[in-house]
Amino acid sequence: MSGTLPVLECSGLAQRYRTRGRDQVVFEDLDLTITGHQFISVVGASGCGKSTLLRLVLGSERPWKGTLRSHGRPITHPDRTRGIVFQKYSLFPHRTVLDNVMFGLELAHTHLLQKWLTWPWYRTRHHRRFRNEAMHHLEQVKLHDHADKYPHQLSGGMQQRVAIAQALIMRPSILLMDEPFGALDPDTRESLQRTIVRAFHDQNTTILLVTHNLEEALYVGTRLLVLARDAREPAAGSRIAIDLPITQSAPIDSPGTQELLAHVRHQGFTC
Amino acid sequence: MTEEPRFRSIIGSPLAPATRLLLGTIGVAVCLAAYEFYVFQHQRDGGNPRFSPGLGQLWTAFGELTLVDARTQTVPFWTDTRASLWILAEGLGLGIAISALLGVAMGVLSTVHAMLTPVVSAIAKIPPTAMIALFMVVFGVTGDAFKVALIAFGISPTLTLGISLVAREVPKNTIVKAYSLGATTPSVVVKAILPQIIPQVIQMIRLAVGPAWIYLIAAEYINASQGIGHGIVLSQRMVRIDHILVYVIWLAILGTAIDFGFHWLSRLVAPWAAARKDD
Repeated sequence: MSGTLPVLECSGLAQRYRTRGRDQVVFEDLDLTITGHQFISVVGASGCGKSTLLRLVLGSERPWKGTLRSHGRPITHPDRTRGIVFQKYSLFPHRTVLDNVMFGLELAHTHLLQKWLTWPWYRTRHHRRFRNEAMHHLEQVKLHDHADKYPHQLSGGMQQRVAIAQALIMRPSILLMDEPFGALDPDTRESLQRTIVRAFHDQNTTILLVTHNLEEALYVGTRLLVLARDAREPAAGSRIAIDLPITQSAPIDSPGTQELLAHVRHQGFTC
Repeated sequence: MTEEPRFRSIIGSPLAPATRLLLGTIGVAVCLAAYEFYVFQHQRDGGNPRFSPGLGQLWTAFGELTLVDARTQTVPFWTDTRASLWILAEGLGLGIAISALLGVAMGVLSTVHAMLTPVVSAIAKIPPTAMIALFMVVFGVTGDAFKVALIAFGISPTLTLGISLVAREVPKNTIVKAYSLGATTPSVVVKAILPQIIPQVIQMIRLAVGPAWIYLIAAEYINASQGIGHGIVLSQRMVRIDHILVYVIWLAILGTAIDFGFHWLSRLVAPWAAARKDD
C-alpha cells in the first residue's frame, strides 16, 4: 500500500514569517510530488525558502497554508520515517561516534524503563545487535576506525559522515539534508558527495538535499528543483521556477550540463 | 625539549606541568615567608605574640585542637569538621535537588520558564543571610534544619536560573535530530538534553560551594553547639588567634579538596567535555 503512495506530497504549500510586524511570504503555491527512488536537489538564492521547505517536510515547522503528506499520512512532527542531516550540530557531543550511530536503534527498540529494568539482558541481546549494525553503517562511510572517538575529535567532514550514517541506520523513507557540506573544504566536499550518491544507490532511500551550490546540485541529484522569486513581484513568495530530471554524476564540463547551468542561472537566479 | 615551531608570546603561553607545580609551590612559599616576616617584625617591636602566632605556634595550636576532650572522649576539631561537612552536604544536596528539578523544567518547558523566571529572579535578589532570623523561627533554633534551609535557599535561585539557561541553550538541531531518530519527548529530555548540560551543571555546582560555605559559617556563628563556625566563635571568646587561624587554614584546605572533587567528578561523568572546543 505504502509503495503506491508518494513518498512526499505537498500541495498548495505556503509559508510566511512575521518579522517586526511585517509579513514576509517565503514561498507560496508550492506543489511537489515525489514518488519512487529520487535524489532531489533543491537550489535557490538565500531567502528563497529552501531550508524552510526542508523544515516543513521534516515536521519541525508547520505550514501557513497547504498540506504535506508522506505515504498518505499528514506530517505533523519529526519522526523516524524522515531523517535529517544538518550543516552543524548534527551529532550528540556526549556520545561516541558509535553511540551516535546507535542512538536511533536504541530509541526505536527500547523504552528507557525497559532498558533500565532489564539491563543485563538488554546489554547482551539488543546492544550487541545494535553495535554490529552501527559498525556496518560506519564501514559504509569509512569511519569504523574512529568508532570510539567523540565528535569533537573528528574533522568537520568526518562529523558529517557520522551524521549521514546516524540518519541512514534508521532506513528513513526520505533523508533530508540541509546544506550538509556547506562548511567543508572542496576536497572533503567532493568525497562526501560521492559517499552520499553511493548511499543513495545502496540504501534505496529518497533524498532531498538543499544547497546553494548549483554544481553540487547537478552532480548529486536525479531531479533538480529551483526555487526563485519573480523579479517583478518582490513582495510575493518564491515558487518552483524549474523542476526537471537530470543525469546524476554527469561530468560538469559536458556541453549538456553547461547548457543546463546557463539555463538555470538565467531562469532561477534572478531573484 | 623540542623547539616549538610556533610563535610564542608571553600572553597565555603554555607551561610544562612540572614548571606549573614549581611556580605554584613558590607562590605558597612566598606567602608563608611574608607572614613569618610580619610575625618576626611584630614581635621584635614588642607586639603581643598572642596576636601574631608564627607558623610553629600554629602547628602547636593544631596539636592542641586535635587533643581528645576529657569530658566527651572526642576530638572537637574533627567532630566540628564532620558536623559542618554534613550540614554542608545536606544543604547542597537539597539545593541541588530543587534547582535541578526547577531548572530543567524551566529550561525544557517555555510555560514553566515564563511562569517561574520572575519569581526565581526576585528570590535571587534577597541576601540569604537576611533570612536567618526567619529560618530560626520557622525551623527551630536548636537543630540543624535552619542551617540546611539557609544553604539551600542561598544557592538554589542562581543555580536554578543557571541550569535553565544552559538547558535552553542546547542546540535545537540536536533536539530535532533526536525526534527524527524516533525519540519520545521524555527520552529527548533524558537522553539528548540532560547529558549535554551535565558538565556545565557540575561547573555551576562547583561555584555554588563557595556561597554555601558562607551561609554555613554565618549560621554557625549565630547558633551552633558544634561545627567549624562554632569552633571559631569559641576561639574568639578565648582570644585564641592561633586557633582561629588553624580553623581558617583548614577551611581553605577543605574548600580546595571539594573543588578538586567536583573537577574529578566532571572528568569522570563527562570525559567528552574536557577537551571540547566550542563549535
